[in-house]
Amino acid sequence: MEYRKKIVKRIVMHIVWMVIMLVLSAVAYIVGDESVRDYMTAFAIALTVATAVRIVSGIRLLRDEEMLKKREIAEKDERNLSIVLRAKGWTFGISVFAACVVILVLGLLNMQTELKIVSYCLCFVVVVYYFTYLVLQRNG
Amino acid sequence: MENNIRDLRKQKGLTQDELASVLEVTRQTIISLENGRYTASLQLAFKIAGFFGKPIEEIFIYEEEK
Repeated sequence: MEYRKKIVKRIVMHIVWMVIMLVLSAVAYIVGDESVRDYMTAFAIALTVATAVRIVSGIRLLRDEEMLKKREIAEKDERNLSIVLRAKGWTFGISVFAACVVILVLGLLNMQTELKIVSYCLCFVVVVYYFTYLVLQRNG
Repeated sequence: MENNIRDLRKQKGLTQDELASVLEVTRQTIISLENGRYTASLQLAFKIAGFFGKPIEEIFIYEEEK
């Protein structure tokens, strides 16, 4: 029953998220220039399709008890959780490395604005990581 | 970690799917456990031991890493 409620909450969150992003996309489309409009149209379509797929998937789960039970087991399975954690760890490491390479390349190409943006993003990610680590170390 | 889960499961006449269902894990987890590629958490180890009605030490064979 608890898991069913969780799925319902996810569906509602997906709908809210889709509406917010569509509204923001529409605002950017109205306010932005032609290049922004093309980008925003593609972004809005991709977002709507991806979120709609997740909403439909969630609704199908709610209609099928056996599928719901299997999904619950799969989500709570300790091996699956361990794999997800390890995958996230690898993704973080590779992303940080890739960001460092991008910063070097942007520096060589003398693209100062882009370099600053990527650098600030990388710093933010690293700070969040260490903060999270400290919090988990204290509370875990 | 080596274990006797496959033998115990076969003694009970269960498939991997049935055992997974009872323990509330995926079939892939049972496969990995039986092949020694995955080490169960303490919680799952106790669940397995409880299901088979045997002490943990009889099911999981702990060998110190050299």
